[in-house]
Amino acid sequence: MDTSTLGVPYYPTNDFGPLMKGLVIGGLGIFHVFLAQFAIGGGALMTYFEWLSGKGKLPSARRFTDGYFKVLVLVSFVVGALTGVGMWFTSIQTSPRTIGLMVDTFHWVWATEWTFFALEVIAGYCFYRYGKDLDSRSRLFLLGLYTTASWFSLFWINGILSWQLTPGAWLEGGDLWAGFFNPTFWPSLFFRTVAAMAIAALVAALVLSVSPTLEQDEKKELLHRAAHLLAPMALMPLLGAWYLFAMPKDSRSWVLGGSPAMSMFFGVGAGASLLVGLYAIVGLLWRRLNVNGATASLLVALGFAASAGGEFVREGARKPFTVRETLYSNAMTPAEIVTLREEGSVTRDPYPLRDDQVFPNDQVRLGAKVYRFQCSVCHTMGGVNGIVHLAGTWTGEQTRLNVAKLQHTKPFMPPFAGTPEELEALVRYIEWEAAERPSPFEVTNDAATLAQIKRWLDEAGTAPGYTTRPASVKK
Amino acid sequence: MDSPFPFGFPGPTAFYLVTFVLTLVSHVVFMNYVLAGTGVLVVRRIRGKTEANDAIVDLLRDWLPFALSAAITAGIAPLLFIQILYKKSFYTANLLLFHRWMLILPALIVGFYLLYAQKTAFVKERPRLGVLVPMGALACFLFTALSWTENYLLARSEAAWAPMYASKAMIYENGEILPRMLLWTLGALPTLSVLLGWQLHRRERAGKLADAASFRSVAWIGLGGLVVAGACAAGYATLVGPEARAHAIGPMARPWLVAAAIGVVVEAAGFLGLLRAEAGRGRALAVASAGLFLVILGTTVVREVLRITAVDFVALYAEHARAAEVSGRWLFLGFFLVNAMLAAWAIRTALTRATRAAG
Repeated sequence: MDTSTLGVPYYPTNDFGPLMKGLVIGGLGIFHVFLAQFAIGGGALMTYFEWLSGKGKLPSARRFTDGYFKVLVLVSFVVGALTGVGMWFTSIQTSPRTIGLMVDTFHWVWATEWTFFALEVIAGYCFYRYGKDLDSRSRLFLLGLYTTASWFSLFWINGILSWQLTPGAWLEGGDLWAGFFNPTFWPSLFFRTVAAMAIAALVAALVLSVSPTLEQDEKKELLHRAAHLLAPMALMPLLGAWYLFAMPKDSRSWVLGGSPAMSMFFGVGAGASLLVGLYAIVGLLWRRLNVNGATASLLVALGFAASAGGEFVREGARKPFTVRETLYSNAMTPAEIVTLREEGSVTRDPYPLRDDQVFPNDQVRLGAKVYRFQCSVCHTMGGVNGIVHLAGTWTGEQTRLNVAKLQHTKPFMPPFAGTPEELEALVRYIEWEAAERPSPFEVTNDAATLAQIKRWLDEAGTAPGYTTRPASVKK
Repeated sequence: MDSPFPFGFPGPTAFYLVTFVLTLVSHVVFMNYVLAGTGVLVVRRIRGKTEANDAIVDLLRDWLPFALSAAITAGIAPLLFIQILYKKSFYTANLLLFHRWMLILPALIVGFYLLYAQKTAFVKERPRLGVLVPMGALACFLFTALSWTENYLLARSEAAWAPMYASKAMIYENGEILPRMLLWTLGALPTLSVLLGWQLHRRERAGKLADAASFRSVAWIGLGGLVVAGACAAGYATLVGPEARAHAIGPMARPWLVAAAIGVVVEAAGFLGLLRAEAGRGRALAVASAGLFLVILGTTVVREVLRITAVDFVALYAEHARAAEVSGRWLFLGFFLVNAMLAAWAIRTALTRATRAAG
């Protein structure tokens, strides 16, 4: 979908102080994903238990299922559903244009997902409310319906989220299904399904360990059966490798050492999964160990850490885009960058600066506006991922060069999208902040400097850094 | 914009408008039940009613958590379509209200758990908690209602955006907010009455506690709600300014305003019938339900017309047309039908098999 002719929309940008915006959405996102996957895996676990109960293989399953379902309803239905809505709200806070493009492109897929979510809620409530009075067949039907609906919720959302990283053939003709069934769709779907089953089994271990109504033997048998849902974790390395190799090469390189932060989160996710997987296979399935409350809590915490690592990698690997080759992290299309280099990126921005009077001159004010529009979505000035920490020690010329050729300085950065005057203003704003906001502060207005910036910008071009090299390097 | 809603708009715009309004109506039904139901529960608890001696308290205590879940689930669809229809104004209001806006999530989570908490034996055994817990939930829902009202009015007022951003204000100051919220909150009472009436009717048929006094209470709540909400609507109309008033009775909204007015009369007739009926209350409830449908649909459209005429809606047509180009609507329609049937099957299974097993 070509949005470039609609013009760049300007939104009021909130300042989160020392916290970068990605942390806000990331924090809520991880929490939501964990709960959503618990809901899906929980349904699978209860359906399995109900089936065992119906076959007479696990007499205590029914009692456990009723208790476990209450946990599922109270945690997943309430907090899970609301954090799902919260994801939209936080996405708006971070990048309204990205969520707008996602909604424009996939609103019917999202609406379809909503019908499954509604079915999940209805089947779930029917079981919650009437399950105790129902025969085994009806219980199995409701649980099966609940599980199928919740898994299909994942199916639809997975297509939208994986499209952001690998839009595939959608980029060529805008075909919805080419974008939906994109290169990372299947590995991501299978990986998440396995993760959902593992989370449900870990929560089951925790619920069992604190259950006051079940006998020790019953707990042990139930735990062993629940651990069956951990067995597919053996496939995780394979699925993870499939996912990694379906990623674009540059994204893969950030994860595998190119970006220390992303490599660290990848390590956290893989390490936590490995620990859970080893304990599950060796301890629970092979040696049939029992699990006390402390161990179960630790396993759930490791499961959460694995989800957190995975979600950070998924979010971070998209850089420098929020939708690959369509919308940069700072919500500009590649085509708009060409225009904004001529017109200026904040010339039409209708929002004034907050605390306008603290800035020493108009040049720094302009720099602050450029920072707000182009940088603040991923950076802070002096907090997390702070520009002063990253560039405060550079010389003026270094900063000019590095910002002008930003996508080559760091290939996960988008190209600078303004005029030479805006770039110079941004450099002066960084210098002013690095110098601890002195007043007065000199205005620079050297024609030769601006001409040099222009040359660097032209050399850098407007394409992403991973696709091109600057002209001087090519020579 | 001289044709009745939704005529006079380009095809894609009209399509999204209708879809938005219809999904919003379903959200409003459940939302009204939660908002008015929690309020009524608080009042009845203060008056010493309990689930043991009052069918209305019993029903509300039992069904409010589900109703809130249904309201949130039903609210997702209009939240999707509002982004296509108004994108920039909706997003801008979200961003400007930021802290206040995001607080509705914890508020709803707390409200949700309080509704569950009032079902526990711990709260049941403590009469003071029996009042305080639904009161806390009501406070959470009123805060959410206030935030939505503020968001709606701010999204319509482009001139206020830049000054509000510069001032770092966390509250949008507008004289319409509280009267408007009062109107919508009190207007929720008749919806609650109709739904409670049906619940009591079903109980009566199942041979459970549902005395004539409860039906009369429901009818009085509905009639009272119509009167006070009508008075609030008249008062609110004096606040909105001549331009908005002109749009509310203009060609786009007029048929819907008339439909809402007819709905009020029909609904009132249904409630009066319920007051007088000794048997056959289903007919009176059906009349009130038909009236309610007209009222909610009519007022929702008028509300939308006021938003459409307050923003530069023509400039959004191109975005609607672009959004309409993407495929998937038949997929949605197909699964909507399949999943609706499966949901009906699930409900039928739960109700019939559980009754059989219990019997």
